[in-house]
Amino acid sequence: MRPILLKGHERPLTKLKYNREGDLLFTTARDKIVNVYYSHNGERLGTYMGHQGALWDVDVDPTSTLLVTGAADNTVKLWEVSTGRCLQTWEFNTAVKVSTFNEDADRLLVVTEARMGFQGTIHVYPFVIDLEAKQATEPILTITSPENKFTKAGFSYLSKYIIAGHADGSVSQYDGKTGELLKNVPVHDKEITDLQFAPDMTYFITTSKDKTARILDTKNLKIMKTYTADAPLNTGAITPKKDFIILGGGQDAKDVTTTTSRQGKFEARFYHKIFEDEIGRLKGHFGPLNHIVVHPAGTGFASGGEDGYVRVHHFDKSYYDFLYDVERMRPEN
Amino acid sequence: MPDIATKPSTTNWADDDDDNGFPAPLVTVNPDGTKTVISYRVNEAGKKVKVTQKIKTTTQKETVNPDVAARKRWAKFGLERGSRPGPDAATTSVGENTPLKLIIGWKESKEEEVKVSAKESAKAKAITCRTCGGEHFTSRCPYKDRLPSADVVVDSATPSPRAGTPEPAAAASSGSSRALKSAYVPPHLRNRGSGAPMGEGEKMGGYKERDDSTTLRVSNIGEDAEEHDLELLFGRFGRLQRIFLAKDRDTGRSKGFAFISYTTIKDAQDACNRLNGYGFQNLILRVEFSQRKPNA
Repeated sequence: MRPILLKGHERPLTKLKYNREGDLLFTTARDKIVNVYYSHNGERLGTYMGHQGALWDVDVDPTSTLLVTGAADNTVKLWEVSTGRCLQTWEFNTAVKVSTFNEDADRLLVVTEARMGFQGTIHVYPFVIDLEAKQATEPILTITSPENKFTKAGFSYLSKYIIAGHADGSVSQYDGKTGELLKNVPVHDKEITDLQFAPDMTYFITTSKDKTARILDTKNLKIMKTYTADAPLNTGAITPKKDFIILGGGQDAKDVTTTTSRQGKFEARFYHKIFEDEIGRLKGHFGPLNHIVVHPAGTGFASGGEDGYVRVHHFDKSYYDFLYDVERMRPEN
Repeated sequence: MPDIATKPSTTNWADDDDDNGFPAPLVTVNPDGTKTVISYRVNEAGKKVKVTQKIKTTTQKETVNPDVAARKRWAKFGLERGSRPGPDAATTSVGENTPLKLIIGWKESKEEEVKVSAKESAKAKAITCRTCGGEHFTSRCPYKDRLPSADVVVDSATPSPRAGTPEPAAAASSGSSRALKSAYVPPHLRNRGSGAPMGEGEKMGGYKERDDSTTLRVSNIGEDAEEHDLELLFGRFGRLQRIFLAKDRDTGRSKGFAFISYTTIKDAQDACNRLNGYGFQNLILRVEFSQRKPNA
């Protein structure tokens, strides 16, 4: 596999996002710009400029018309995808850690950090996919968690639930309409670093600094699978088409210079989703992997590292051919 | 991939130098849709040859989502405003080929390796110093100079005990203790009597004679590095005389430093300038000219 290296950022990557068809790849880093690339050849299509602080999240609506970004300058900005024009800005009291749409992009979910006396809060806004529309500025729903701050959050299937990961390693399930807390389940021993849904959103994967990743089912928050790694994990993604999990991590950036490469473990790790076994690793990054996303068609993946690089991989034949013996024996139907 | 140029090239590379009186290539379209091109050129041996090419053209159609196709025609914006189409080398490059090998039981194979090396290191623990009895090789003993070596005692004792047969033939062949067939003399005790008066010993492999002026000391190498990797990296700057990668005795992995000798000082200097601070396998190499220890 020959990865495409994208170097549009000068600071560590924070988030990558493919659009629905997977032809565009949006990247954000701790510098102030958002980049968009064509994923098939790595050509940079443009940049979205206007934020004044580190960017933490990016999401695009299913029609690839509107882009929403959340940043440490306490704002969420809405952009026109095709021109890079900023359409609207929401202001908050604290840094924005998450800004994401639900499946149909008729809801916008924003998570703001607990800081300076303000509580960590989930804000939900109504949203319409229309370039001309004035988007609502008043949230229809706010959820606070006074003693346990949010790290990640997202809408489940049919926007039925809001699933949130916490700094203490637990996962909460809120009602998507009323915001009522339905469940809170301890999952990890340390902070949850990433929460990504499977394509059908009936289950999701969480990764944590406690060196494990877990798959939970959305409805009951039951732990279905556990993947154990040997380094703190920053991100995990579920691959469509093949039953794999790709995990990324590595020790904290501040410890990197004091250790050797072998202890760094800056590799993308492949696990089998069902059997929970590690089946391979892919080297490349020069520092911990901060985010991994899989192409929506399952034909490749992109990883963003602390080293400021994005590596876009297109899977080759051996990836598709890999099967367990029991999988080979499964009758065709 | 859709970005590969599909435009049929109208000029044949073989026709580039056809200014020597050859007729223009003759193209005929066959009834089955193929084309026959007849052209003439001069081959390597200097003879005129007639080249007949039969060309079949097939068009491959790729169905692309219309939205995706429309997005491909978007004008660039932001920092990329006005850039030419196609990837820009400033933001996009192609990385090294990194094979992804998916193996069942990937982790076990690694763990086994660790187990084996643990076993080996347990074996190594059985080493005892003959001078002080510590867990290191005798030659590395810190008390080597202060305590009398056990070897000396053995040496002087050899002729008498054992089975009581002193092997007269061997003793006669040469006077020095070195020639005694049965008694092994460690290198640091050799050459006594004949050469230097006391403990000069034999030096390993002519270490003193080696010219180190073209040798680079490379440190901060990753543990996964092998000599071959270094050869590829440093071989670019000139002919290599010698590569020595220090490896751990038990695990066989790199200890993180190496010595690389070039044949000329110029190459060594070039490599030193270019590779000092070079990022190699997650670490930043430190390259300097090798300096011998002052007391060695």
